[in-house]
Amino acid sequence: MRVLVAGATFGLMMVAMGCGDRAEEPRDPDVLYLPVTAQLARASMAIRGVRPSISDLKVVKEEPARLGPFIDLYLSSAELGATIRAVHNEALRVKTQHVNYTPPSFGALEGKSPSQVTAAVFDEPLRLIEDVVMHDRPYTEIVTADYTMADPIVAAAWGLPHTEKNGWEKAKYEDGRGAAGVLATNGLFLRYRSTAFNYNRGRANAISRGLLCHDFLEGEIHLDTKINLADPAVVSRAVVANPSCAGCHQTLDPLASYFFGYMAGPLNVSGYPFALYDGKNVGAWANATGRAPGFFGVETESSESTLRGADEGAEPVVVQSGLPGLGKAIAADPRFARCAVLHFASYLTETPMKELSVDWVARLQEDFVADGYSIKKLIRDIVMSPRFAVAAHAQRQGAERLVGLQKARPQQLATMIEALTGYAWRGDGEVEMLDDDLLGFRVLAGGIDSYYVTEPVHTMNATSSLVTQRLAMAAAAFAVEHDLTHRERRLFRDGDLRSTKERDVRRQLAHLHGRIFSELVGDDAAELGDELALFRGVLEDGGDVERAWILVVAAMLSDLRAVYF
Amino acid sequence: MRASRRELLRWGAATGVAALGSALWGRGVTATRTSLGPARRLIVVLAGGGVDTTYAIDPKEPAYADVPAGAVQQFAGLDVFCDVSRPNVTRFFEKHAAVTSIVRGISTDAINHAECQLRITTGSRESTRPDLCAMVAHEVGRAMPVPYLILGDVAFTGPYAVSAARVGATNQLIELLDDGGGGSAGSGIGASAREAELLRRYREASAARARAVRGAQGYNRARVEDFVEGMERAEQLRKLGRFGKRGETQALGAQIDVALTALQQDVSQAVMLNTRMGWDTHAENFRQGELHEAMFGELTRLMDELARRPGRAVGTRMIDDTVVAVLSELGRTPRGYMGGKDHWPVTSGMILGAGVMGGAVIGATTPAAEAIAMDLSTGAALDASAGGVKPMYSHLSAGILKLCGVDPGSYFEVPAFDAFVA
Repeated sequence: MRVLVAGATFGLMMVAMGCGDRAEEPRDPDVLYLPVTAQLARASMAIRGVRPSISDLKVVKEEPARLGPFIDLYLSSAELGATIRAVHNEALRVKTQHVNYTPPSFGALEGKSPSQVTAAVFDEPLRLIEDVVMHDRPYTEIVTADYTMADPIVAAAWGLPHTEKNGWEKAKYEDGRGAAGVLATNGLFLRYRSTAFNYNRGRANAISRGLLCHDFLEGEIHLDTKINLADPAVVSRAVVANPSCAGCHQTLDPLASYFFGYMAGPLNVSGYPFALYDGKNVGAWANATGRAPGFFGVETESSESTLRGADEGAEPVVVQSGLPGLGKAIAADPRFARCAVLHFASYLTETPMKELSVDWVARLQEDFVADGYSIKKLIRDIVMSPRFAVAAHAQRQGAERLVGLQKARPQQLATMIEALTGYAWRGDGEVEMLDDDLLGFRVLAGGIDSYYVTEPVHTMNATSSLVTQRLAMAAAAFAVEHDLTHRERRLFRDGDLRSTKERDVRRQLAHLHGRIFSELVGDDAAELGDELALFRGVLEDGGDVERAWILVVAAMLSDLRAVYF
Repeated sequence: MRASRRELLRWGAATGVAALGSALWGRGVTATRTSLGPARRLIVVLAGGGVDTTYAIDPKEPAYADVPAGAVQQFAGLDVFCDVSRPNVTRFFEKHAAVTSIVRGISTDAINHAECQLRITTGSRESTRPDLCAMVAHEVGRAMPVPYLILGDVAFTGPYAVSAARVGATNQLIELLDDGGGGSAGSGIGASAREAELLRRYREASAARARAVRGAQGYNRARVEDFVEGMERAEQLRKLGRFGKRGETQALGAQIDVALTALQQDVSQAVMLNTRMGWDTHAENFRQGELHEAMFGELTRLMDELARRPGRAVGTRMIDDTVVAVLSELGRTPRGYMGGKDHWPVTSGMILGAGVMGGAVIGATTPAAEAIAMDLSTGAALDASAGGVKPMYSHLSAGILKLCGVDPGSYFEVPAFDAFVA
């Protein structure tokens, strides 16, 4: 039995600190910070992908101390779920639509498009993480949970029970893989497969990179070309005996040995339900690399092992073998908590992980663990931090790296506009056009495809402009037509929408400023001049009121104050 | 004084797209690069998956490597492995060896596809760095409507995202270039010319306000400028509207057609293509033969077209101002195993076209396909103790930048492997 020497505190039942007890972070005198209304808007977009309501803005403007309660409210909203999935998709890079990773549409999946199939099967691990976070359970459960999530497509593909006609619900694999959260989801290992003689090393690195922020590929590796990399026997010897190989493989290969239960090689689906996992193969490492499953020096396969924290008196954690053992080992590793902090802080501030303040990350990690691995509290800590509220830097040099304008990711743009106008951009009835790369425009709008494109683009370019304008125009037409013909308005406020009197138009424009830009301005504010000029210009050009409002709304929805926050 | 990118872009929009590139050429950009030679267009053809170079460009003896059927033939100084089963390979070198440099023995020092694609395209290990096309497009073509056109799948724009446009996995871009119904000015959103002008004024006023406050400098300023520039580039794209058919860009041939048009019309300075041919053959290494056939068939057509279409200067052809780099992120193991070959951290490629020392084999690999140390300025073997260097992806990238008229020192701290520059 070996002992993992680590600095983690393994007990999860920590006394949660009240958020008000956090020491307030000092503010940088050279940094200009957002006013509280803009911070609320940024937090709302980052957490929910929607703009705050005008009433929310007015309340925090009057009472800045209400910022925290509003953030708590947003953290309890259903929209947080999509953000949790998005954060983890960037971390795990699962939502690909690569043809080699797409289960075929026949049998039980007959009639489903590739977009529908990939959207479902690769969402499985993300939905599980979402479920853990939305119920505010310890984040460690993402690698220890004894269930997965399934919708009808996932259920049909993998043979899981499913009771609801549509939607996601808890389900359980009954093939002995055990309780290991995302490590026990087919979705993750459909995305990360292994060629026959690579023995799950790619899978191991994907897990290490995504959950521990330890990327084996980032190491300084110099491959020895004296060895025949095509011969598995030669490679097997080299990864043990050749120093240039063994340095990484002594930890990579044991990690990879956990995944022999998952099918390797090309995806040859002969029918559904398809068995991607076969418990009979879990011991196949013995005839492959010969390395028993182990976690960075801790073997867990042949006997029960004990992980003990560095803290004196910390309760030892008994680690089981197999995927559940791996899950517990990951959960107990201090890098797991730090990695979660890095992913969320990076996502929520649109700052590359390597550029995040080490001190800030360390503080967040400490509080995250102390808070019982509550992601909601972690998010709260991040968005309440002055680092989240930065607007600009007074010094030229400091301004170069300070992210004072965040850009709406494709999915955020879609949800923001849908929330404002009611317009949902879907193709073929069900495909989310900003969350799809075959029919839709996810990558063109700056998103990732989790395979070729793995870094989101946090600025505008020609294609993201085309996407934004197209969506803005369609949404504007949809909203104006609706609000002109319905008593219950979606975007505009009450009043005569066909009136061209300046007073009435200004009243609406002030309302739109609040809703779309999260800016509270009076009806007579100079800031409304540009929209007013546009409105008048369309009328003077022979357009009617409806056309004028469509153009104004389209311009505002695609304006930099809307796409940046 | 050099014009800012915004000024150049606006100027280009106002005076017509066709004149834009050549106008930029005469406006100071070239003047700052006299020591680097002329700015050149760049086409990168990425053969993603790992080419078995023993099938053509790096022949090996059976004593040291598992090789396919065939024999070495000479083409204007190039030794190429050919076979009757791969006539397109032979035809390609018969026609274009004189403008082709074969570059052998580039170490990627890794065997993971994604990591190696990053390295071979960017010359770095950071996915936030721009790739070769992005660098060239930004440095010498940023005033064009779409300086960097991405027709393949692997590409890294880094800080130059605003200069790049992806057509998408199924060429979705063309959907966005449709007018949207009812419009007459190509606004893409069904707006009339007058309405489009009103919208433009609105955006500019908004951007001006942003520059006056949060967007005054640094990161924020760049975001504001990218917003304005992105919108202007979008407008120019709509006016062009020639990007093939939906789904077409899956094939290399269709990518070539779009790339040629974009480059010829100075819509773009650099294009990234991908063969999308499944070179990662593993247990079916025999498929490398048919893949070579397919790729070289298309490369022949690409080079034929570059040699046929007019260049920027009167009396020249596109081949006179275009560089083509055919690269693969990996080689394949010299020896196979049960009919398959695995990933190999040493690769070879081809650099073709303008400014290239044609008919030259630059560098070498050992009989067992290992990299060797060499003089990076000549490609001649040179022992490490005498200053020889095993060329890495970064050295090659620096050399390609230099060939395209970009100072490699702006991006790389390593010496350029530029022995292929004439």
